[in-house]
Amino acid sequence: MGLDPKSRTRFNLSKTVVLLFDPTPMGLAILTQILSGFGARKIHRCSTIDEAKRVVADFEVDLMVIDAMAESGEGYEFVRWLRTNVPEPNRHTPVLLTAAHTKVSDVANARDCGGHFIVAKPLSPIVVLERIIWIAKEGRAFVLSDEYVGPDRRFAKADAGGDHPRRRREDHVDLSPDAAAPATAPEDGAVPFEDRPLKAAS
Amino acid sequence: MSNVRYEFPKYKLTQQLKEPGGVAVADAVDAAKANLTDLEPECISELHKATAAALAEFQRFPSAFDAASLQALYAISARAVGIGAVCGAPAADTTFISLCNLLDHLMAIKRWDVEAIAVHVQTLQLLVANIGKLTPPVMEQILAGLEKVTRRYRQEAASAQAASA
Repeated sequence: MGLDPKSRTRFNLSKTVVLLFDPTPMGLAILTQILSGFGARKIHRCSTIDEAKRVVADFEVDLMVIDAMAESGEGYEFVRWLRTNVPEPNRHTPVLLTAAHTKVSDVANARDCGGHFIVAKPLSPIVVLERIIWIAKEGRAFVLSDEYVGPDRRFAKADAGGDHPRRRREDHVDLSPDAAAPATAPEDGAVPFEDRPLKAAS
Repeated sequence: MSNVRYEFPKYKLTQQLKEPGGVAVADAVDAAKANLTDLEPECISELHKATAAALAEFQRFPSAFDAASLQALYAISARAVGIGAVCGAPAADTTFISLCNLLDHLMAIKRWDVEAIAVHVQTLQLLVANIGKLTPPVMEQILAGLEKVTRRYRQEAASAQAASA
C-alpha cells in the first residue's frame, strides 16, 4: 500500500537539516526542487563526496539523500564511511540512496553499505516522499557487526510487538513501526533492502 | 563467530515530521511537481548534451573489446538517467537504463557487440529529436525492441556474476 498523492495528511520538514548529494548538476537540481516542494528549508547541496563529508563533519544532519554514483559506487562507500567512521548522531542519520542503475557486481554493495532504502531513478515526488516517511519510522534497530553497520534490514517484515495497540494520530503521517510499508518494485522502481536476501550476520 | 550489537537511535526526523504545521501530502507533491516544471528547458538541453556525448563516445569505440570504452559510455548513460522524466521524455530514461544494463552485461562477460550499443544510441537520437512527437504505441514498440536486445545478455551476465561470487 503506497502513500496516496491526494492525501490531506500533514508532515513537517521545515526544521529538518537535509544533505543532498548528486554529482550531476541536473540530478542535484531535481532533488533540490523536490525537497523544497516538500517544505524543506535547511538544505545542504553537495556535488562531491568531499563536500558531503565536510557537511557531515560540521553539521548535525537529520536526513541524507545520497546518489549511489552508479559508475563508481562512491555513494555506497560514502554511506559505509558514515556508518563506520562518523560519531553519533550523524552515524545514525536516515539515508535514502538514489540510483540511476545498479551494476550486477554492486548489488551486494548497495544492500550492505548501511543505507535505509534505495530508490531507482527517475525520481517521482510521491515515491521520494513515501520513502522519507518510511525511513523515519520508529523502532527500527541499528545493527553493528563485523560485516554490517546500519539499519536492520529485516524491519519491513518485523512484527510491531507489544501488548497494546498503538494509538495513531489521524492528521499526521503514520510513523509507527507497524505502518504500511511502501509499494515496491517493479511498480514504481524502488527496491527496499528488506526484499533482498539477508546475510546471516544481521 | 560474528559479534552483533543492536542500538535503537531516536531519529530527530521522526519527531520533526510530526510537528504541528507543515504541509499536506497532496500540496507537497503538487509543489514539488511545479518546481520540477521550472527545470524543463534546462533538462531538454541536458538531454541533448547527454545524447551527443553518448554518440561521440560511441564513435570513438575501437574495433575490439575495450572495457574502458564501455565504462565511459556507461558513466554518460548513468548520469543522464532521470532527466527525461522531468522534460516529458520518459522513454529517454528507459533507453539510458537499458543501455546501462547492456553495457553492464557486456562488461561482465567481456563481449563486444557494437550493433546492440548502436541501436541504443540511435534510439536516443530519435527520441530527443522528437520530444512530445512520438505516439505511445510507437515508443512502446521501440522500447520493447531495446529490451529484447539487452535481454539477450542478461542471463549470461548473471551466470558469470554467480560464478565469480
